Amino acid sequence: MTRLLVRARRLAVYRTAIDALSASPWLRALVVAVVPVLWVLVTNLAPLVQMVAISLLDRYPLPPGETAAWTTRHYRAFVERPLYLNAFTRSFVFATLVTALTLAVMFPVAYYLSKAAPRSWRVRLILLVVAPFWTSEIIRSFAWILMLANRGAVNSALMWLGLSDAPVEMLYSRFSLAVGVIYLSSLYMLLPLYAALEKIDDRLLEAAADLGARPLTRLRRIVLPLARDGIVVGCTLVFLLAVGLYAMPQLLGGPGDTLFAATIGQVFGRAGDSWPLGSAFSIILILAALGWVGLFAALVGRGGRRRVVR
Amino acid sequence: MTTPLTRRRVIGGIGAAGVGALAAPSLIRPASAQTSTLNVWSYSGFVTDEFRRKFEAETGITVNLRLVSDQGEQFNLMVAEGGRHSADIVCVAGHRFYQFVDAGLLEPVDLDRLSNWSQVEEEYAVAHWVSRRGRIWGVPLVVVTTGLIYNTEAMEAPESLAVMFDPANAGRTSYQIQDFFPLVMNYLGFDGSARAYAHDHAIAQRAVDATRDFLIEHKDKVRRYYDAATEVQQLLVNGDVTVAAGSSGPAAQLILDGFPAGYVIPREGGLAYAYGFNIAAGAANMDNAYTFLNALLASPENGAAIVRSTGFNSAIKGVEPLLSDAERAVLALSADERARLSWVDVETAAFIFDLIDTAAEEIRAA
Repeated sequence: MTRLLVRARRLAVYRTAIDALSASPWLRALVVAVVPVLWVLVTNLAPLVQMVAISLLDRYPLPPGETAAWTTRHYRAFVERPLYLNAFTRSFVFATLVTALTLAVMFPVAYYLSKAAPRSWRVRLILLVVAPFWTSEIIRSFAWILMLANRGAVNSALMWLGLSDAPVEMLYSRFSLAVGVIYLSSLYMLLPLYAALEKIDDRLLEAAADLGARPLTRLRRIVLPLARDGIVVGCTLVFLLAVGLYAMPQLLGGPGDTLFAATIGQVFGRAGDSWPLGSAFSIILILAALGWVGLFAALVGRGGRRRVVR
Repeated sequence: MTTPLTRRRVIGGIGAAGVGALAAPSLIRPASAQTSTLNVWSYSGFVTDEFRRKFEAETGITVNLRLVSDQGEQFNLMVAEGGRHSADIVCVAGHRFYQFVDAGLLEPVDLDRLSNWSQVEEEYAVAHWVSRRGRIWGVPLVVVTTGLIYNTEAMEAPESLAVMFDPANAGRTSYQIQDFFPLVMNYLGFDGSARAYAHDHAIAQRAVDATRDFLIEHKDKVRRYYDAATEVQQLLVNGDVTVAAGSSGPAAQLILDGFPAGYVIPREGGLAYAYGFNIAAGAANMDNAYTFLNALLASPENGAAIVRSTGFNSAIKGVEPLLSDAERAVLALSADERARLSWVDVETAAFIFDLIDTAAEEIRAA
């Protein structure tokens, strides 16, 4: 390697490039950033741009040799056919509720792991929580099907304990879907919360307690404001995951629980040239989800800043 | 002697692996370009493991099987490939194949190369869902009927589709929307085949909208809209539903497996259609495709094996004597039930299913 560098140094082009990089930190940053930026552009932005382009076509896919006209009618279809709006609204309400529930469930867990659990046990406990996530979403969905089915583990236990005479219908309902999605998304809430809570100096809480602050007051005035970033990140991740879920609602949800992502999937799956409609719906979902998350982050962020200023 | 692992060797190895990975696309030729392979898209059970092993051993042709579950998915993938199909053989439903033919996705069958064509049951070989514009476009494989599957321990044999909308069965029914939709159109007094509306899209749209609204109104009776045949079997076996609209295949399999299930064609009628194997337009392995189809038709044992793995009736000659009494009993329909069946109208199918597909999305979304 050293020999190679010595030989390369003899080349004027190499020397000029190295000298330029040595002289300019901006150029060094640019060179370092080129690969990741290109990666983001190619893998993330290019498919989106293509989807926007398809959404504005009259029809797609096209048989060889045919062309399509430009149109915005697929975006208009979203408001003209109110039944699609149902699934769209349901997705946002569902994702918001699931995010709130996941936060409520995972906050105490994250707090325990970061503040109450013995330090030597923390890594092991986190690994225990993470372990189910080594399997795929589909396998975990089927695990819940086995748990919640009429002849599943939960119903068998209820009937064996004499708490129920007949199976309680839990599967293919909003309940089973919510349980599955909270389970699925819990890790995405836990890790940012843990990271934020772990950083809070224990002495702050001890000082507050010494000064007479009750546990709820300490939670409201110290823990929550200082964990704000973790809450925002966790809620954002969980919301974006929940609002775009496809497989789990198909497996665990009932006939009244179709989310907008599933509707988009059906539109894409229709035999014919309906991809522009599916693409338009996808773009609408992406923009609305980002808008919703942006609004949430702005509101929570502003609230947090006000509290700090005070 | 062991070679010590140095940083230089590791870096060199990673570099070589990287170069190899970058060069891989040019080294690995696509499967479709090889001559000893055959790429088949098929529903589960249509290419049995036994047949596949025997075919590969006898011909040296490797079958690359990709399972499909939906006609729309298959159609869109083929169109998206822009005429350079990765499949040599696809599995198209009889009532959907006009759409595939008209989109230029299929190759007409050259009967001179398909020496075993005479092994197709005559009534299916001349059926209107096999030919178009004077050409044969596929090899019929199985015949499907749609009716009601029910748990015999939970209810009497239903006579009418009304059982699917009975408040007593709230949350205890299931169906695949697109398959059930034409039956419900008939139930409501519309023409599920859309033959009557072929020249008036507005009337067809009104009939579809009314049926859609009816199904949305009765959404509380549905436990689950299923997509795959195995799902409806699971729903019945797990006790999640007592009655479902479904096809003969899953029903026959349940009965043969000993589950207390029954299958009836309701008085409002049922639909019949076929699945077949079709050759993709410009298939890269055309010779292998004909070898495969000839091998499949060569023996009624192959047809019997497909019957056992799918539960559907075979379109290949000589299969029935090979089935057991129990299998024959399960697959047979009474004369009355057969009279209530109507074949999906291939001329209007693409038109009406286009409307039904949209309605199905809206029913789910509602």
